[in-house]
Amino acid sequence: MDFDVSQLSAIGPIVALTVAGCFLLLLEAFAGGRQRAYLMPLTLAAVAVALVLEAGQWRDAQLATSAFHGLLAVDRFSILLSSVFLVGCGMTALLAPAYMKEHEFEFGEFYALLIFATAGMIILAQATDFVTIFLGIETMSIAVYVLTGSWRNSAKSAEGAMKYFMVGAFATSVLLYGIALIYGATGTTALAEIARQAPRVSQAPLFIVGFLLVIVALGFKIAAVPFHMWAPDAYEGAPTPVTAFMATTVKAAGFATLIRLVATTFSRTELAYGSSGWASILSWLAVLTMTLGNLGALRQDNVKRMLAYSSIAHAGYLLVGVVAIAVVGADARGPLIYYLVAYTFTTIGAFGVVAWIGNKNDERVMIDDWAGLASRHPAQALAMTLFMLSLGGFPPTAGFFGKFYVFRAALEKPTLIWLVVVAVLNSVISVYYYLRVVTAMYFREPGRELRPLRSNGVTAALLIAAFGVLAIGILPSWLIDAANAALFLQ
Amino acid sequence: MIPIHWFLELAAVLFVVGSLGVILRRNALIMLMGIELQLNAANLTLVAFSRAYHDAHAQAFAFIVIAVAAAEAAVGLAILVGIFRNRRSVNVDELTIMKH
Amino acid sequence: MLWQSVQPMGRVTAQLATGDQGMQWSGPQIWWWIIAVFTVGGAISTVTRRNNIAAVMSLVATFFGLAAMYAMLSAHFLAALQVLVYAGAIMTLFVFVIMVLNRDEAEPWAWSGIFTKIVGVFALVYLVTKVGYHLFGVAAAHPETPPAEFGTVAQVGEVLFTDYLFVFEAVSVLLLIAVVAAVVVARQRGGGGTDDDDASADITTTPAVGHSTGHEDHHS
Repeated sequence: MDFDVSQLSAIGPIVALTVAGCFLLLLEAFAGGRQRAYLMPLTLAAVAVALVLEAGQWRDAQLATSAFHGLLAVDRFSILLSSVFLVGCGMTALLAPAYMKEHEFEFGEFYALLIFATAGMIILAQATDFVTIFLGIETMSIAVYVLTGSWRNSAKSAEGAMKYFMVGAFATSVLLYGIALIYGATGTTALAEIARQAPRVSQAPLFIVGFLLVIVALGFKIAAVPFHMWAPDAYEGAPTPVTAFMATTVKAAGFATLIRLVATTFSRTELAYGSSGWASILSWLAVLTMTLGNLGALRQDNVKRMLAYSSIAHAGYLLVGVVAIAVVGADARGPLIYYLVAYTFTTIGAFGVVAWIGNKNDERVMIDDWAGLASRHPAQALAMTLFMLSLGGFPPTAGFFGKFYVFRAALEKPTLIWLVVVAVLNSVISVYYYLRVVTAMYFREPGRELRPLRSNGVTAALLIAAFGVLAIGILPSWLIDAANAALFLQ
Repeated sequence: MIPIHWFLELAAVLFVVGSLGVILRRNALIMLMGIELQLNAANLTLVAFSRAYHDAHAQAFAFIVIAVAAAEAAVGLAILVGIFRNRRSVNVDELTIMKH
Repeated sequence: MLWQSVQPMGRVTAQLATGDQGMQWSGPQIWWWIIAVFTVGGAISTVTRRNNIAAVMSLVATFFGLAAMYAMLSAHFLAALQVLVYAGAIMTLFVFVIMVLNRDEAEPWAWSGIFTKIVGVFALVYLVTKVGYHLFGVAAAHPETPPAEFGTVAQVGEVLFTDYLFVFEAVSVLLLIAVVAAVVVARQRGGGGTDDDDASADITTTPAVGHSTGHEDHHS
């Protein structure tokens, strides 16, 4: 009724990405393979436009605004998270063309799907209504299912896509049933209205079960143990640039929703504490996720699969930060955003090196294949070392400050000391398998001949990742300040 | 007058049946049908509550869900056909290339 | 399963059997029971059939039952959509894919990874039992008849084009993704590897993969 064109500015980045995606599809359809070289730069241009629009919103969004009848919000939280997704999308696009060409599965729709998935994530970051949360998750997931299975002639890729799809679709149904029960208890799907009704319904069994189902469904999306069984296979099977995309932005999008829900809608004490409160559930999930993720990674000789388990373990550290929201309130979101940024740069970089090292006949993902890399390709070995150190949490990398801020937030109240102790022990264990890659590269004799990818795009992505890891590691304060200023729409 | 909770309980039963299909069956097609059953059970819950609250928003949501379910089913079936081309089987227990 | 929620229904049925205990069964309620049994029967049949076509047909029956349920809830627009989109379009897609694949599975129930599954099933049944029990308490929150325009195309359409305008538009992107997905997967047949012609030629052979070890490993 009262539609206002100015509302379009709230979805500017989403519109820009969607238009760009349609344009790329048309270009691929009508120009065929001839114009394929332009697709990656055009994707980057779309990402750049969307980032500029996000930056414009950051300047305007002194006060968080709501748009489209409360379906979406523009607040600094959504802007920061959307920027993370966009950077992840751009870096994936840089990695993709050389990788697809080498492994002979080039197709132009890849970029359109990548862009649409990113648009879905931005919807998710801005969503303030369960309808938009459902829609954003589906837009993101469906595009990523296809990307996972896009490596033709690879049985692993098809298998990973199948498992990912089955588990993901199951999680979607669980999410929807949970939303329906919450609607039954409150009569609304708007997060703000649900938060207003929370005092009345927070003891209503329908509401509690619905809320548990939503948490479980998000647990599937962020691959928290015990809802992680799809993740190692999907990550290993997918084309490596897609794995980088899944392990970072898809996970960050799940966390964006989880953080917004627990920090605003479900923030009431009686929902957070108690045996079926989310704080205790999420702290157990965090312990399981960290520990089993690390134990899984310890046993891997396959670097790609090791990184897949490592990303599960990192979801556990992030969950520690989410639990901290229960204790110190919404202020704990700043460290989480910092961690997500640090983790995104580091993980895309690490998977980027994995994508770089292999070629068509020889994926070279086993750790023995990395022996002696430093003597032949010192720059890439140095970059990988940097990413491994950041994942393991060594100063002065971004990963160190991510863990530092998250654990410090959890330590503000003594109730979470045990959780932080478990997390720190897990970080110590994880150092073993990260350093194993480093020692293989530096202290072992070179094996077979290497024939890595030669591509400016891959080099650029690795440089951006390394720069990001160092920049926010050496100068962490500006990012943590911005993250702490990332208010929610209340 | 039919009590609303009859519909809600029917939906709960359908959700359980669908979930059992997904968890216990290994035929990917049947699993997909189980997922469709779950989505429909959630939709029935939404519509029943919509009737209870006299609120058309939940019906619009159910409309959206139907569209999304169609897209999801199409993608799922496409992936399934793709994997069948590789493996000649739709049994998910045979998806064991990658070691655990 | 669902003891808690089945019990009230069982009590009602018992009352029906023993004659009038104060519970009068109106015509719509009897119809409700007939359709509910039909719907649940279709659902159970769907997940237990060995034959894929039989399963799809049972699912179509369930969807028709659900459409009738929507109509009883005065959601006439959705009832029509349920038949058109689900029973019409989605099920056609299923039948089409089954015709392409054309095989029955040898072992309909999975016994592998049984421990994890038992835990999963119990958690699920417990949770939904709890829900079912409390759903009974929802009772008729608003028993009065809805306004005449409730559930009509006009009313749902107005919500879709005002409050849910963004969602309505965004769903089109989702459908576009689905189309692109189908194109991407369909295009793969040109890529060598397995050829589609021999897919239809040896559909009766046993699965090519011999490493079905029979135990699914969940400890990872």
